Amino acid sequence: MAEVPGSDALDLEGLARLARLRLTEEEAEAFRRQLPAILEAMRRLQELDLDHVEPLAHPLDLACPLREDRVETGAEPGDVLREAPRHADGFFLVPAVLPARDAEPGGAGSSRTDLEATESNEIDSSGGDSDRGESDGADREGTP
Amino acid sequence: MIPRELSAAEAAGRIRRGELRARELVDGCLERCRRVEPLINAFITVDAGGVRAAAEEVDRRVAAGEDPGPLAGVPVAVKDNICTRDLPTTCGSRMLESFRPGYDATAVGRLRAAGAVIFAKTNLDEFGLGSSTEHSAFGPTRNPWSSEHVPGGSSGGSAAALAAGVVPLALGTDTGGSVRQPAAHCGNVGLKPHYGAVSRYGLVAFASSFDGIGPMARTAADAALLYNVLAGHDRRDSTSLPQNGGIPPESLAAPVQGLSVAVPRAWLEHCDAEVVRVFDDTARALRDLGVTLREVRLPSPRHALAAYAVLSDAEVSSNLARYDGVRYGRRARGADRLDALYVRSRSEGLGQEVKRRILLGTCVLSAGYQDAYYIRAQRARRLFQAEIDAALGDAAALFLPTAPTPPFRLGERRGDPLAMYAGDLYTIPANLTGRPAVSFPAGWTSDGLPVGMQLYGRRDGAATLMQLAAAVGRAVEAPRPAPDPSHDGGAFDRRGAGET
Repeated sequence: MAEVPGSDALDLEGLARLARLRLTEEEAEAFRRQLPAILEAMRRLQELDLDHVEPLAHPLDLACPLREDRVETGAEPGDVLREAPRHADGFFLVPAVLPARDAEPGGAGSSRTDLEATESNEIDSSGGDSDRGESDGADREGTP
Repeated sequence: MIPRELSAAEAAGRIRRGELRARELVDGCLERCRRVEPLINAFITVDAGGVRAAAEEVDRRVAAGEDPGPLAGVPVAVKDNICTRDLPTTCGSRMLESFRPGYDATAVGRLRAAGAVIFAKTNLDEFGLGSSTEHSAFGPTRNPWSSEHVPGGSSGGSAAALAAGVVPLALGTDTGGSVRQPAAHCGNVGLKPHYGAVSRYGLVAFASSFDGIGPMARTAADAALLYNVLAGHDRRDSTSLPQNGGIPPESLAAPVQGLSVAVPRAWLEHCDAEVVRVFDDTARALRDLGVTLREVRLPSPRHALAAYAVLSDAEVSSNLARYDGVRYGRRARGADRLDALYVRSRSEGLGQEVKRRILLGTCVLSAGYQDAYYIRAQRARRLFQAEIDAALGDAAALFLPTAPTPPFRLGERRGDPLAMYAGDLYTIPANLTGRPAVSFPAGWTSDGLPVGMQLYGRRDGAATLMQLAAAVGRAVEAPRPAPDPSHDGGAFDRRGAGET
């Protein structure tokens, strides 16, 4: 039987990476102090005899309900997109997914902060030159 | 001047009969809000203009001979993790500080259809993670009975709004006790319905197999009235119960003689002496009403808490992965790559308690841990459900305290997560099993702080729970009038300020 990992195996940096979190020094210090005891309290589940008990994921014994395959109105795209920090032509806009390459022809990939140029090259195929197609209203990027 | 203790049922009745104008009622509530809010910080958003307009619409309909519905003109406070169309829904988080949903939660839609006025969005522990409303990005809420004490959490804003007499009805949410415990700490009635009885569509997800919206009020009758508006099948929630009954109003007046309740006496060893005293007084009141009390043994609370912690942390780590700065909410500046955008937005937007639970959840789901913790906790959940069903037997309910202690002081447990989690001991069973449970006001500490008691019910037992809560409510000491913080230069008067 595999050994049950406990709080000594806790890899805070690894977990933060998985959770896409960057901890401040203060947070990391607090968590290093607090998490082991909480994990040990969770480990007490080892005391139970659960060999013949099936997992219960959900308090209701429901199967996924089905409905008629008929087109219905869902959310209005406008209602969904209006909360997006940046969007254009019905797409959510994000920074580059892949790392920038050096000396890209046309210079599009070389400037990592030149989002606008990258976007208009990739998205604007319908001829709007200076109009990047961003929606009316605010660039709603997060306020500090 | 409208009495602070006007019930929702009475208010709706008077408004529908044209004896009271909804506009007059909400103006009174808004004025009270203005006076007490600086001292309790129960609200995140109050839309005074929208409130007045909605009230005037109710009055117009009544004048035109229409019936606006069973909650006509009644102001309802809504916890800020429940979506309200075009009103900020922040979840108490910097991540969603300026988020305005494009839709109403089903529960909110049902309130509006019943003629209710959405009064305000109430403060909460961030995303519902907490038991004291100290983990909000918008400051803590204070208990109206004592400014140095917490109102409980995570629905502390809703509980405080009720206790301070601002509104007669409020929505809370309950994942590990977050309706019941603040109800107990503020002297209100708080019902956690059976899982699936009230639609979760539009409830911002914390732990999806535990979450639920619950009615909060000052009396059992008002809580039942609100429950009847909220409950019902919803096609948009795939975990919605196929059909579920309401609470017939006449059942609340029915005698409880002959009912039996089961008491897990051994669990009281974790209780503060004042809570035990109120428990014993309430037990006596139940016996005097003709209810039979039977002692039962329950499995160790330590294991139930561990299972709840593992599963709810795992689910919240998964549910909160959606906050990445892309589609809504806070987006960090200056990120030049997608991955950096995720990390910066999340790290800036999410608070410490949220991060703590995400990390724990990530841990129990990770390779090497998942089988020994997460899957194991799911097995423990099934075992616990069977054991508690066996202990309940054919009793109408389990009777136990809502919380092991009276309201604690602000700051007392903030730095000690384990102490904070331990306070959920008596409430998490109902979330693990999905069964309904109610907290009702049962007494006071020698310091004048509220103490609540809890009844945990059978699958279709919400009506019986409320029937018992109503009967005991009539029998135990009458709730004291809400304190008036505006007396004496703002000092709270715990002994009750009397009616103004």
